[in-house]
Amino acid sequence: MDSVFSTDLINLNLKAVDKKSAILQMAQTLVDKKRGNDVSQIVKDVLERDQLGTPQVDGIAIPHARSSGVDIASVSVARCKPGVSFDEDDGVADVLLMIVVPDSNGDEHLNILSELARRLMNPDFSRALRETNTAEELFEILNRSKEKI
Amino acid sequence: MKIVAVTSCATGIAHTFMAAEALERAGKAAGHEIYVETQGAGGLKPVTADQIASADVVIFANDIGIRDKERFDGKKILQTIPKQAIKDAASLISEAVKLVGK
Repeated sequence: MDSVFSTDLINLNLKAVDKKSAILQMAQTLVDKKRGNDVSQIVKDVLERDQLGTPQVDGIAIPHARSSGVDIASVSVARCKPGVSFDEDDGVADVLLMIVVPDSNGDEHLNILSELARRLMNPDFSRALRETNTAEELFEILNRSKEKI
Repeated sequence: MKIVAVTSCATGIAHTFMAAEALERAGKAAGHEIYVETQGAGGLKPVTADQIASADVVIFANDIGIRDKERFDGKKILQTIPKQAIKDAASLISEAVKLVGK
């Protein structure tokens, strides 16, 4: 099973004017790294899911979707300044964790993804997402088990 | 106090589990015993009949229908949505506690 995380999918300095532009750039990276096959399909599916509400806690947003444009379940990470807004009520998000899974995805990745969602409720984890200096370091934190952070 | 909660959301990937974690953390922080059933994508880990029977109050945090809802018939139920649980689980726990007092 391919890991859902990769240093290739971590961008500590994303420049985006709005959520659509952020999602578009993250989708493009997924396709560039051979994890997806259709940028516009991924963007469409993530934005469609966003209509139902994108989870956000403490400035960390998790846009997510199942998409036929995705080949390998993946979590893309982007830190962006000054941040983009998903839902006006939630304020600005400066860290994005975009979770995408293929349409035909089985259950095996969902446990990793649900664990990630749970970990976001841990303030230590949010801090680590914001404060790590390199993609390698962040990758290592993402791969740690829930118990450690 | 004993609390049982059920969380579910549209895709069952994120909100369900964030809401569950938030409720577990807030419940334990307030000194309660809390069991959360996540009705998400992937394996369903149901709360047991005993846990339901001994619960003082039940919290439903769902965007879509609760599966096997009849298990909770007759219980005091606080109805909310996952988003609210994620945003402010501590207040929901206090509301649930108040519901028991009524």
